Parts: sequence; C-alpha cells; structure tokens
Amino acid sequence: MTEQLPKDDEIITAVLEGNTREFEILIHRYSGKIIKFIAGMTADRDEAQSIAQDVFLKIYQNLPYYEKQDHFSAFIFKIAKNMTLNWLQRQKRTVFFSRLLGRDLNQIPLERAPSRAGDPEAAERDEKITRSLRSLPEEQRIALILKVYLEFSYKQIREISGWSIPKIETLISRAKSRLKKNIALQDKIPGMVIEARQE
Amino acid sequence: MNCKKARARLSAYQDGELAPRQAQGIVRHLERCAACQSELAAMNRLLAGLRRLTFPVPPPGLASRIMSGLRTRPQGTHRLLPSLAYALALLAIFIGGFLLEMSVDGQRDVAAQSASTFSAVLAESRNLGLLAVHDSTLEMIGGDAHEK
Repeated sequence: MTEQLPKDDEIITAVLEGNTREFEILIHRYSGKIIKFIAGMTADRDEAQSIAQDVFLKIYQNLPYYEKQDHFSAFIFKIAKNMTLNWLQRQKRTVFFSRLLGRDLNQIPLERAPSRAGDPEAAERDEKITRSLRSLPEEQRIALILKVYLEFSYKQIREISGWSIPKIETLISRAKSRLKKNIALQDKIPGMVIEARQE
Repeated sequence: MNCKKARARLSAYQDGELAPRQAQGIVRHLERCAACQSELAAMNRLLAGLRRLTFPVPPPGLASRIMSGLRTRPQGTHRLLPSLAYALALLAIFIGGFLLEMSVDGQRDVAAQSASTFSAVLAESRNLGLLAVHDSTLEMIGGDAHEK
C-alpha cells in the first residue's frame, strides 16, 4: 500500500506551524514547472534556475498571505510571473543603458542558446522555438506558456494573471498566429533572427 | 457559423476550452469548410512543434540550496512596512517643515522686536536732541516704534 502524499494545504499548515522541512516537498513538487515557465519566458536556461531559487524564497516568505480557498499553484505562479517580469524589465534596462553608453549589444547575454550540445538537431529546433517564443509580446508569451507547457486551463490562467477569459483566449489565439508566421519565416530564411515584437 | 466566427474560436476549440454547444458549432463548420480544416491542421502542427521544446530540469541540490536559506518560520514580507515607512517619512517632513517654520517665525519676531527697540532708542535720542536721525532711517529700522 502506497503512502498518500500530503496535500499542498496540509504542507503549508505544517510549515506555518514551524515545520520548515516540509517546504522541501513543495520545492520538489513545483520546481520543474516553475523552471519550465521561467525558461520559456526568459529563454535563458541558466538564469531560469537562479530565478526559480529566488521564487521559492519569495513563496516561503509569502506563505502567511496564502489563502486556502485559492489554488496554491495559482499563488506560486503569480509570484513566478511577477519575478520573471521584473527580471525581464531589468534586462531591458540593461540593454537600454548599454545602448546609451554605446556598448556592443552582442556582449549582453540577453538570450543564451539552449544547452543541447549532444544533439545538434534538437538544439537547433529548441533554439528556433525559443527564439519564436521570445519574439512574442510578454502577455501573449505568458498565456501561451501557461497553456501549452504547463497545461493550465483558461480559468487557472485567469487566477494567475487576473485577465478575463476572453482576453486570455485572444492572447493565445494571437500568439499561435504569430508563431505560425514566425516559424514559417525562419524555415524560409534559416538562421535569420526574427524580431517581431511590434505588431 | 461562418469562417470569420469559426476562426475566432478555433484556438479555444483546439485548447478544449469551448462549451459543448460552441464546440459543436465549430465541428459542424469544419465538416463543410476545407479552409478552416487546413487552418486547424496548421495549428495542430504548430502545437506539436512547440511541445517538442525541451526544458531544463531542476538541478541537483536546488532544493537543499533553497532550504538552507529557510531556517526560520515564514514571517511574511511585512507588506505594511513600506507604507508605514512612507507615512513616517511624510510625517517627519511635515514636522520638520513645521519646526523650521516656527524657528523662522521666531527669528523674525526676535528680529522685529530688536529692530523696534533699537528704533525706539533712536527716536528717544532724537527727541532728546542727542542724535540727528532722519525719519526714513527710523522707518527703515522699525516703522511701528517710530509711529509711537
């Protein structure tokens, strides 16, 4: 007979009562998904792990504010979303000031290639998809990643983002249309960097 | 349902997010529209392609690194503290401004009092014929004393 795993709310209660070690279960339960989300948003695998670490620290600090009628995954993805957007903002500022200072933008590691050294074909495919995702406006990217890679429903995405269902539907639909065009363009012109951030 | 309406909901249909009745409407349209069928097929290919993206897995030691930073019970991030800090800063500015104003006013009063006394002494000396002081000088120093 297998031991039933404790539910999120049970773990949170234990942590809040001082049983800090229980938090490790939540880390194991959610770190893969959190890293997936951040890596999709930032296109930076190394940074995704570092941001994820900060996200878990923030989740821990904010546990007293978690209300049990909400879904815990919505609570943690809200934090992950906000921290990732902050990181992206800082990146943009770095690029902006580097431009002001006349530094070579290529020296700034805005995007790092996915690490798939063992499989060049997969690495190339990953890079193409990552680049296309990165070209999406932030809101479209958030909605699409939550739907396609984290398999959240529109209702769950609404809990995380605070957007209405029609808005989420539109964001995802537009993201798909844009990606179709981007990927088709990349296939036509291999190696070309497609930056289609402005509609 | 026409193509325009069907295309607008095709993504939600693909995501399985439509109510059964709405989904039925899309299905009926797809049965007789090759263009929309082709659009849906392209969207399915896109989704299949996107899902082939591989993601990094949590590195070994991530959980222990995080746990080593959590030795105390979560206390919250004191959401009220920033607001309280702003309120205290504003209060300090207000009190500071008030004290400064009081101090300036006080100095003004002392200066006015000194000027008035000096003016009265000058006027008295002139009246006694000890000093020749012009009216404009007395006015300049302290009009009130001079008038008296």
